[in-house]
Amino acid sequence: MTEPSSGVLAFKAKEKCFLGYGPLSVEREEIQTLSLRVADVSGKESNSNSKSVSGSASGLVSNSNSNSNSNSNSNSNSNSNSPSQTPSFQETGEFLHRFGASLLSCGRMLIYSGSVASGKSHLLRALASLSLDERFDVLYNGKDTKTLSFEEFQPLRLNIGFASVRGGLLVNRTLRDNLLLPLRYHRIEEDLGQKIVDNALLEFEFQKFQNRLPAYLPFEVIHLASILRALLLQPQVVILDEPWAGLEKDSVKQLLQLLTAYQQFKSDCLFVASSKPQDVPKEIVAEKFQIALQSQATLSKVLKDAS
Amino acid sequence: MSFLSAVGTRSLSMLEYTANLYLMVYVSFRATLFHQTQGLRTIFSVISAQIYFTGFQALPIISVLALGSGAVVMAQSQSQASIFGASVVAPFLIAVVVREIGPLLVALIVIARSGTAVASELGNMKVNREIEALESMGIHPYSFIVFPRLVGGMISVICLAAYFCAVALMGGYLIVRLQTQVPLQYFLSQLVNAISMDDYIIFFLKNTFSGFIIFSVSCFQGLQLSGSAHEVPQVTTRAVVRSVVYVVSFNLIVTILFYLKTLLKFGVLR
Repeated sequence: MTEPSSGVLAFKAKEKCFLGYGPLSVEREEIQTLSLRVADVSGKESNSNSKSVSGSASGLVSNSNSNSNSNSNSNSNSNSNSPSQTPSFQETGEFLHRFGASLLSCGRMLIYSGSVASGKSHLLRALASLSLDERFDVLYNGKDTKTLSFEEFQPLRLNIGFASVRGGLLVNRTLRDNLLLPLRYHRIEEDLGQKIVDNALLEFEFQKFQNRLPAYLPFEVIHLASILRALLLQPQVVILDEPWAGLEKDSVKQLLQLLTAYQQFKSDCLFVASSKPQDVPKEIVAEKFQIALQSQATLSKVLKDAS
Repeated sequence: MSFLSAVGTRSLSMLEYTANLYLMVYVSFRATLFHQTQGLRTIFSVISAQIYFTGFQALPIISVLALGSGAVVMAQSQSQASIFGASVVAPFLIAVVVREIGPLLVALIVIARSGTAVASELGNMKVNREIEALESMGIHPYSFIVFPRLVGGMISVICLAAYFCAVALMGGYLIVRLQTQVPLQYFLSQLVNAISMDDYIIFFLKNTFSGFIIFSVSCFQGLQLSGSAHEVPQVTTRAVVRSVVYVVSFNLIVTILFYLKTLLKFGVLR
């Protein structure tokens, strides 16, 4: 663990610190590859019809059956035309296809943009290994999350941050305790954890809320705090379910600043977010992040909607 | 045939329920005791909170109930004493309060106060995606939620039952004192002489397992919720009903076994 740099808070990312501190020493496994393996139409996986689409936090892409854009298209079509799939999952299939076709290199943000009930949250939860879906497998470093127990997946899980759209703050703990929880549970030194949380609260000007229970917090505070909590253990893959939904402009700006700082701090990180097209902030597509979308038409739509 | 089929189906579902319950308890203990990446300090803080809510906060209601029960039992036993002699009073009080009334009433109070609270709390945590959030932070939900509640609950039930017995016996003494001039020291010595090793065994057996049953059933029912808030009252009710049935059945079985053993000891049964 590196020494804290005094007075340096979240957004001074050039000094390679986040929330005033360098990398935390948490026992975990580095994520080399993140892959999605889509099962066959019948639900059974087959070598000929299944596709494995992969991204890598370190910038490498390894596709097990060499998905190029062209064959991904055909796969996607066969996937979405499947009679056994619900309409909402067709969009998820398209996303998987995009995922496979897109180079997920350092510090990029992948946005799954889809309409209501298109399976965005479901897919993101599956990526975080919080739900299982027989239609596809999620593989981290080639390990299928379905075959791993909680304990076996733990070293990888500690490199995955997840924030859901509902926040998921514990209702019987104050905001401060909620932020401290992952640090305490994973045996980060108490003083260090307290300082990190102090810096986080200071950065978002949440000090006045720190002793309140979630029931007495504004929606925006809950939302931002849950994203902040997902970042506190400094994961490599950060999965955010509708991160800017319902946020006002200032809060979106704050959030983008936080994500930018994190991206600069952890250069091998990968953001995966879901969003309705109209919610995607234009700053993201302008300069802060590169959206990994395969289709220019879709990107144009996002740009148009965002503007 | 349909009756037999219904009984068989019901029995199988009960067996499956019990197996799942024990599996949950096993996983929670394994995750807590053998999972090396987590710190135990967070879990200890949850255990102490559980002891505070279940044990400490229940003291007023337990005091009232214990005082009343002890007084009623002693009033009844005083009237019997006039027939059978005063020497039976202390063993009778011990038998009724320590072996039977104490464990049962404490269990019922804990079910009403804490069993419902745990089931609805866990149900709401499921609805609010808090359990999912815990999992996403690498916090094992069973080690963080089930284990501390189970351990804290068991400790609380044992302590509450001991407190109940002490207050009930004092309530009994108050009734004695109203009618006679028996000194406290003599009354206590009579009680101490009346307590046997069997009483200790029954006391710890009943209370430990009552705590185990109440909190494992409540946790299990709370975690069974599929995700809709309207199910919270349903799982809470189910937790109460199942806890009461299991606790009463367990107490009954222990009592029957104990009295069978006593009858065997005295040669009544061969």
